[in-house]
Amino acid sequence: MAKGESWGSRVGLVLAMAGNAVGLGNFLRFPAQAAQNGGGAFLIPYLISFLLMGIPLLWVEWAIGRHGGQFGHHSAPGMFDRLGKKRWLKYLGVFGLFTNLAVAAYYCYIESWTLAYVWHSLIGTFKETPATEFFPRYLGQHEDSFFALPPEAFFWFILTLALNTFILSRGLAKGIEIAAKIGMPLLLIFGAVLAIRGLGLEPGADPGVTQSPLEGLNFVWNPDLSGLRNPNTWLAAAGQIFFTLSVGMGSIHCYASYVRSKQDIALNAASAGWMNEFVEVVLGGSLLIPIATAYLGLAAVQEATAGGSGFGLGFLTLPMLFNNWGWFAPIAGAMWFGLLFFAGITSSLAMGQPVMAFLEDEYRVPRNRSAILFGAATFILGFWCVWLYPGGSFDEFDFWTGTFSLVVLALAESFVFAYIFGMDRGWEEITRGADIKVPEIFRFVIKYITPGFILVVFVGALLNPVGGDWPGAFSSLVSGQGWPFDPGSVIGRVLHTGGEYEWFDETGRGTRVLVQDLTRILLLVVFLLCTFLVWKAWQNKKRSQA
Amino acid sequence: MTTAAWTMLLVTWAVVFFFTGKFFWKVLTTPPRDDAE
Repeated sequence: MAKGESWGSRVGLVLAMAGNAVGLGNFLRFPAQAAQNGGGAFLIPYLISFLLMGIPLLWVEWAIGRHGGQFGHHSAPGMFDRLGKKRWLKYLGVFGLFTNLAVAAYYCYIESWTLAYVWHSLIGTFKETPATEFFPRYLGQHEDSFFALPPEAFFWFILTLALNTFILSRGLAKGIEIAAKIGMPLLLIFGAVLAIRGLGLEPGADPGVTQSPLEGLNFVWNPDLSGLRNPNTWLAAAGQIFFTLSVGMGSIHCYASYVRSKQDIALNAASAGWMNEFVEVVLGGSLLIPIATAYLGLAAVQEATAGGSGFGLGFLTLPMLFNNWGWFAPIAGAMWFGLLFFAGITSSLAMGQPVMAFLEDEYRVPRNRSAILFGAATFILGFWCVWLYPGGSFDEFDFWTGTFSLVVLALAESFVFAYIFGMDRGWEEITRGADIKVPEIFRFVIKYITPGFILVVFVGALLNPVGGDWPGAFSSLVSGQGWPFDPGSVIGRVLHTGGEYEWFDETGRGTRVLVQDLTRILLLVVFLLCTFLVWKAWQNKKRSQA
Repeated sequence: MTTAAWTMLLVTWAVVFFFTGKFFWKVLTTPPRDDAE
């Protein structure tokens, strides 16, 4: 690895870590999840999950990272290898390479949309062309084809990749840290300006406004304690905490590995985690739903966020609604997509660094070359996402790498940390050099509650029944009719439930199932390739030691 | 907005503001340890 590479400042590290966690999901997924899971009913399980799963997992990942860094490992395979004597431990770290590489591929594509939208907002495209018309054209979506090579989307994708690669090639202090120091404050300013403007909309006074934005805010915040008894609300809330904090990816481990062994991680982790919550709960909860409710009404917003994603509202609806803001419209559009871009790039940089660190540490690849290799690998995988976007490749990437893989690594690391590395050593690692007093209760939480929590999330994702009807599913199982897997559950997806399993239709054209299966094969190949690289690196090590 | 919604919002925001501010202020004001190893 680049010897002596380290963070330039503590604030830079915390902002980079917060930037890693703050992503598009803070602004698009969180409000949609809240809206779809009963508004205020969602927030109580959400906050409990943050305290019992989010914060402890952050401490665990920072501790694993700093511990690995002491042995010169800045990527997950080497770090996990150092947690115990079992030889298989390093292979758990493969998830920390695979996830970052594969998520970066499709994430950079979304990031590139935000950059393109900044440009189109500024030049006034959405005044003439509705975003509902612009977006499918931009992505090259046609009703009769699963393939697309849209020139403009491709251009912005390449530009975004080049920007990421350039920043990564400059290293931690001069690249990632500077990007975080610029991106995070701008994101906060843009978010605050839009929230103040959005929440100040008044029916009658502002053109197009039909409802008070406070109606939307009321929907998100009105407490409904019945949600506490609904397992699906808990699963959704725990899932959101998981994704929003970027745990289970290997990127937190990587950033923390550049912290010296006697320097604080407890305060840094807590600060970065709470900063993410500020952006998500305060800003994320005050933008999309209130503004959209003001113009479209609550019912339309609930319909638009069906499925728990705010992408439709964020990319199709909001650019149109900003048109009502007169001279401020292009600036508002640029600010909204600008904040999404900053949220995105600070996260995608965090995906690049672990992959580069692996190449630098284990294969002695120089930094510039490892940045180019990461950019090239992301381009190849990203090309698949761009090309087969209309066929559903993107959703497959998102599910298997951005959802399933994270839960697997987090589940594994929570058990390994508490039971193989050992809680005594683990606690010592978390509290060494701490600038805050970590409450002793978290020792118990990390050992028993957090792994149990993640296990429940994992089993929930694996077995989620149709419509989230768990009692009905158990009745069905007992009565011998089998378990009704939801098509969105892990097993449901593997089995392609809820649709016909055919690779070609009667006219001989490939189906979405074909695209899904080919994408899964591609991802499996990437995973196996990462595994091979880890195996080969340790073989090389063994040989050089002999 | 209902009173319950306002209460929930204000309490949650207060908690989030408090801890975000408290921890970040401590990050800004605590000098890094001298860690000669």
